[in-house]
Amino acid sequence: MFNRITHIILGTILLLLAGCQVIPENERLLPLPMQEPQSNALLIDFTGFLCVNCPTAAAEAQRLQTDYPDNLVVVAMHPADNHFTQTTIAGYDYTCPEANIYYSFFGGTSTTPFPTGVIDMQPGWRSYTEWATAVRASVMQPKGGLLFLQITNVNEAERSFTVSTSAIWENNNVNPLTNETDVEILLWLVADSVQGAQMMPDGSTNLAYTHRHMLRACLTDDPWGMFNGIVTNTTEPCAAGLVHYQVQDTVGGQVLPLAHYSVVGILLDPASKKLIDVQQTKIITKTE
Amino acid sequence: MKAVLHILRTRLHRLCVLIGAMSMTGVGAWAQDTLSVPAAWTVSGAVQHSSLFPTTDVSGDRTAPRASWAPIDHLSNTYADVGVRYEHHGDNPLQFTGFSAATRAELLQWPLLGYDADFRGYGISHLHASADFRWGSVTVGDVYGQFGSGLILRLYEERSLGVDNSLRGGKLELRPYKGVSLEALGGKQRRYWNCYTDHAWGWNYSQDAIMGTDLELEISRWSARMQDAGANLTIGGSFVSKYQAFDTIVTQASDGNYYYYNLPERVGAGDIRASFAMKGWNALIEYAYKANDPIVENAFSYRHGDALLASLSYSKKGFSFIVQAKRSENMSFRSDRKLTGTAGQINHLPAFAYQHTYALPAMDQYATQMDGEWAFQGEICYTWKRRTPMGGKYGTTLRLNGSHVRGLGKRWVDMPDEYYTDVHLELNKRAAKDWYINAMLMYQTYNKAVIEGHGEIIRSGIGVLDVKWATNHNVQMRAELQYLFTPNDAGQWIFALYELSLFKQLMISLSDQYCIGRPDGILTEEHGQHYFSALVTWQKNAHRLSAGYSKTRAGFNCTGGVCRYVPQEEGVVVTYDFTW
Repeated sequence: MFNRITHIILGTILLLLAGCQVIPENERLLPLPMQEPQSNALLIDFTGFLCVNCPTAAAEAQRLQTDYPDNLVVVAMHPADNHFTQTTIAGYDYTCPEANIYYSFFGGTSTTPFPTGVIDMQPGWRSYTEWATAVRASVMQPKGGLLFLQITNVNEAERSFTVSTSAIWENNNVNPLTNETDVEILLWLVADSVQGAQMMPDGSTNLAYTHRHMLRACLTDDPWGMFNGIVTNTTEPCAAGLVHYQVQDTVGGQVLPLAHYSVVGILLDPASKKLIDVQQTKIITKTE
Repeated sequence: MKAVLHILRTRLHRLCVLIGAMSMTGVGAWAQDTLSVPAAWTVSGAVQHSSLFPTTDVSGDRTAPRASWAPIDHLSNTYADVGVRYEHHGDNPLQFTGFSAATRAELLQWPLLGYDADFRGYGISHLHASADFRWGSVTVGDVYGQFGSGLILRLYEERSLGVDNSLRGGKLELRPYKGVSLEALGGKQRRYWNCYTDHAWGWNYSQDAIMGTDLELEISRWSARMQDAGANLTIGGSFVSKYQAFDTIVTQASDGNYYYYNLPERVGAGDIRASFAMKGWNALIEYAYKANDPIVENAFSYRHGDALLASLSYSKKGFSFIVQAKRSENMSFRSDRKLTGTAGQINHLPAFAYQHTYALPAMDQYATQMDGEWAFQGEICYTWKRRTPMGGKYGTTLRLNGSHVRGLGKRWVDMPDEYYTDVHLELNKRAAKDWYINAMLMYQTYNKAVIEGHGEIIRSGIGVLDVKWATNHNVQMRAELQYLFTPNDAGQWIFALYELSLFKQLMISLSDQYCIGRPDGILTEEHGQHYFSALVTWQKNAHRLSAGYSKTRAGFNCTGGVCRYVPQEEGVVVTYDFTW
């Protein structure tokens, strides 16, 4: 038979055992060790016109680009399949079909809350409060490869250009007969500094909001890029592919000059879909 | 070829589970009818199945990984519960009084629309065994529970929301003295499934640990004077602690340098409450406090959280009123600091907003803002007796209910922004021998930008008329007419419903919700849209089968202040429920 007093004592001990840790105010932030970035990272920012918190997330992305100017590429995607994007009024439509394809791949639905992001093409939604951690972890990790993009044959009147790609990748997945390995290279057309409408955190609509690095199209027919064999285990880049492209895009009803566009290239391991490298280059490098 | 085989395998598996679940119910029914089950033993169970055969493209809502998509021609949620209970009579040294065990299987491989992406899965989602004694009970397995009003702990299942935040561990309930109740529980919180990884059991749980204790003292049971006066005084206190291993989460401080957060591995929350009831009066006051809990949802803030809730009510035959007030700030308590969405919530903050069941008043339902809010709710209800001038021949009930929610300001008492207001007057009257009328007038303010993350403040006026004709038990008819006016958002709406119930077994229901449009002429996506439904329901004993065709509007499905966004859907709907 249990002693009733023992019950009360046991209960009290149980209460005390459930502890709690209070962090003093001056110990809440601990300094990070200084390190040089070892590779490049890709941040995909899923956003929409109706998303009032998305400007805050975009500002965070811009802040990270300032901190990692040579190592972070940011691409904003407006997928039509989310209720935060507005597609019925032409001036507010920043969607593109390719954004929907990638959005579905990452498991996005019409109810996925925005803003949200994806790091290095790996499924797993990240709130913008996690971007600093994830980007830092990614750029500090060597990835074993480099992608090179070269823009040639630029015709501003026709809005056309040619992209040549080459890559170096240290890996063991080499075909012994051809001494080559397959890679997946995604080439994206991204528009920057586009003035347009956006709902703001205070609920108002800013008609002169500057949209940055918006995905507008894939330069290849296949949104998952092209597969090419490249010679590996060399220190010189191997040519991987060439694309000639004419921009047909209009953004929110506007026809933008080529100076607003850049090409983002993503080098992926086709087996694991892991990002090896990402690069971004403006189509027109001189300022107008 | 591989894709076709996968589709066939998936459908066959789905069919087998459903047949198995229904067979269990058949066995149960047969057992009760045929076997001589000892009187001390009780076997019970339930099957719940909801299907949608969409006739529109729902590809935008696929939640499957890219490699395993299947054609979307059938979405369904299926649950099968089985439980067994043994009652022991007679004396024994341990004072053992009974034993119970229960399990639940879920098939959610292609779930209905609007749930979190990780909601998809299948397997045994719940398993527990419990031994009861005169001095308390011991439970091992998946446990549910609530401390007080749930401000620091509420573990429950709500299928319409996709919520099941049970703990996998154990629970101990003690009643050492009369008027003394002690409860302790602990475990890891369930978080959907992991059947697509290497785990064999089919469920997933967060990698943290949660422990809680609750002590309640019924003071009035120790006082003969209070008992003679019919007074009931109860005080209680509880404490919940969660443990999660350290994470490296980086942030940039105002000096421009990067740091990582010094995150607490153990976060505690406490709650004290007192309730008093006497002669129709009920009063409750409850305060909860949560220590520093930096999580994604509060942008890694180290501020403490707290909630204060007060309630006063009175009821007697023919009259009742209730007034309630609540202030909460930073009280989202999650088992994993990186989680957002429906999963991983340890506590529950009640919504101080009336839960409407009529279609148009329920279109814009309030969801509790976990950042913080001031909320007030009051209701007064009076029934005029029959054979009085106001009561008429059969009596009349009038109910006035109001809810008002505002945001927090800099000072504790500040309430700068209006989030939600609902004032409605409802009349319930039996107009004649066979005629019943329910009428309601409602004013609503809904701050869509705060509650949904986009939009403007919507102010609506709504009228509802609900008439039922029940001449005898075999034939009953009911009709509803509702109208909503607002100058903005989608504008005016009208809703009509007709139900025919025959012989208590068959019911036919037809309804349509139509968007008339905005008075200023601006066209919206919903202008001119019909959201209709035609359903036939058959019910016999413990079986209930419903089938029909419907098109439902995108919106929020809310229960108790927790909401789930459901996208627009159209198609054939089938539901089946069986309880035994």
